[in-house]
Amino acid sequence: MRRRLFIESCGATLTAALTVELRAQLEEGLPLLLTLAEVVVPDKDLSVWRGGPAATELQRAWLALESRERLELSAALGELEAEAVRASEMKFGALSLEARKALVRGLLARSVSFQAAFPRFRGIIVRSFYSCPVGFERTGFSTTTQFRGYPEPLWSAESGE
Amino acid sequence: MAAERFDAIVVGLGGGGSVVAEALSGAGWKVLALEEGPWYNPFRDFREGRARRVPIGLVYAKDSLRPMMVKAVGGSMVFYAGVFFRLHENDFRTRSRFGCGTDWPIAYRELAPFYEKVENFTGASGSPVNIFEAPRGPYPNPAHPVSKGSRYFARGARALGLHPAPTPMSILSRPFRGRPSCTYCAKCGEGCMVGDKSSPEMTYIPAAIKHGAQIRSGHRALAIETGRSGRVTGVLYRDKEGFREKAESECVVLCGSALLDPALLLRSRGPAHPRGLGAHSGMVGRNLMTHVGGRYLVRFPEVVNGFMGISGGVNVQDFYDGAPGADFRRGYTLYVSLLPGPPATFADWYLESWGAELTEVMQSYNRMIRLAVLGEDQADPENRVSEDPELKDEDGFPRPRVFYRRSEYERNMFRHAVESARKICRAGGADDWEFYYQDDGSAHAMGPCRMGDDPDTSVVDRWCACHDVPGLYICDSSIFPTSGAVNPALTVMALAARTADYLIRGRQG
Repeated sequence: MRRRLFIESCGATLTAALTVELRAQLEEGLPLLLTLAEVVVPDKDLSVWRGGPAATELQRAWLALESRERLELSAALGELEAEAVRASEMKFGALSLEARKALVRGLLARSVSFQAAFPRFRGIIVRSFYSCPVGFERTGFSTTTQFRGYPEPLWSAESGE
Repeated sequence: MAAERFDAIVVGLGGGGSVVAEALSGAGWKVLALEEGPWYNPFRDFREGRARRVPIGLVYAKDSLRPMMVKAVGGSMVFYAGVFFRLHENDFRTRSRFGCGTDWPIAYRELAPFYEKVENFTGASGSPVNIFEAPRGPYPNPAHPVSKGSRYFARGARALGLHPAPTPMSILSRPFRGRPSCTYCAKCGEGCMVGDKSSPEMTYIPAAIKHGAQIRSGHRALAIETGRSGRVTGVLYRDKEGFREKAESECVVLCGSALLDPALLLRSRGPAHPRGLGAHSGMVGRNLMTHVGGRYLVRFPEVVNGFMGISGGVNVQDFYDGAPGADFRRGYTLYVSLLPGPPATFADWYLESWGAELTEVMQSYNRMIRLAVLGEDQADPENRVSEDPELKDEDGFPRPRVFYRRSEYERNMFRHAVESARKICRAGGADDWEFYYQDDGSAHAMGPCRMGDDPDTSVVDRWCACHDVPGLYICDSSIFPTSGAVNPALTVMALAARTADYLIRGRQG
């Protein structure tokens, strides 16, 4: 019985250690992605991408990517970071919004690999922002399932037909 | 084991196939309907987001537009917007009246009773006030109420002396034959989960089953078989489990779509048809058309919620038969369409911008409407569906290869349509802000097995019977000699109803 408990506790510890490591691997790149998100969908509320609902949504989308795709995108994020350090000796996230935008534009013009990755970044960032309440608020979108009907018909109201 | 024998085999269960299956089985025929795509349960699959569109396996040539279709029981109509126009009288006579295109071998008046029959069966909603349509009776259901965006559009059109009219829809505006009226949930494009959109899986297919038709989804027709005399003898198909089976019949009705029919005909070689079925004229696959189609977004000063409700709204057909001073002879329809939604989908799929440019557009989301342009395409034999010389499908057959390129004629028409839309919307109070997509080719593929009286220049005759192959009929948009400038769904169904009626009368002697 004691042996069984010992084996089980070892297993649990190992699983927990692996889970932490795996999660760390999975989340690698996420902080950089969030700073890129501030450029792709800039918002007046800066907290949106810093722990707000859009950030949570983006984290979920990032973790849901297939590992191969996440690796490819991580490489592109690495390229972005390296370019920031090369150009200004600062990390991408430490740059001003304008400087980050200019850096992204420059890289899009020069790097084929970043060009290829950018639509995927854009896709998950845009979807994350406009799928959460803040995105609905910015667009004035209200869910259509509660739609109760149109205004009265034009054909009787205006044309008399 | 002996092959099963049927009075008729329907290949493809979209708008055309479902009408034929219902009509023939209703007349007591033993009918087998084969559909390669899945059979969705609207109330489960669409509500729970389980519906996945099946890849159609087309190869698009370089620089080709990409007309689309959907494989499913119900066909592309399962995911269509529900716009349900009739063709105009002039559409059947473009050569003799406008000097372009080709005349249909039938006139509008021959199809009109079948338009009416389909409208009555499906519970079409509309109002017979469009002065550009042929005189017609009332619709079985009234037109849908008009959205705020459509009101602006109609006001602008009237201010310019144009004639806006409500767009006919195959979406119920009030309860009809046990089905509920539309809830305006705006999810028509994901498959109607309420049951008010009158696509075949909600209308003709349940009726066909009730009459005893056998519907088999996930079954792919591999070849239409013919005997030594050249007459149809049946269909070789692959069933759901992957086994090859044969069903026998002296009547096969092909309704597999304009993009897939040519490949099936060409690979169905037999002793009497060494180059494939209907191929003697060399017209199978040629004259592929797709409407001059594009989307134009415009913004109004107040909230219009263009993402709510249904597509269609209000249309203008004043430029249907051309426009004064324009360098094209035929024309287009403009109608208020549903703004793509929700916002995440719109921003991801329809826009490419990022940064402030993106957020500026998105801030206008609830003040925008989308206008659809639908223009008549001019058939060009070089635009075609053929067999890809290299790529094979999972059954070892050449994959269908699509080549379609726009001409300057169609590009001019699209520019004109966008300019008209701009003028109308400005007159209706729109901002000076606008955004439009280039002509991207519509979802409507038509024409590669065209109908005609001359076997040397067409594939099927006026009854949709293949000139070369006794017992073979084609009932989908493949047979359109011209495209018209309206959505083809209702015309496909009316032609199918007419052919079914012809077959039934033929058997009755």
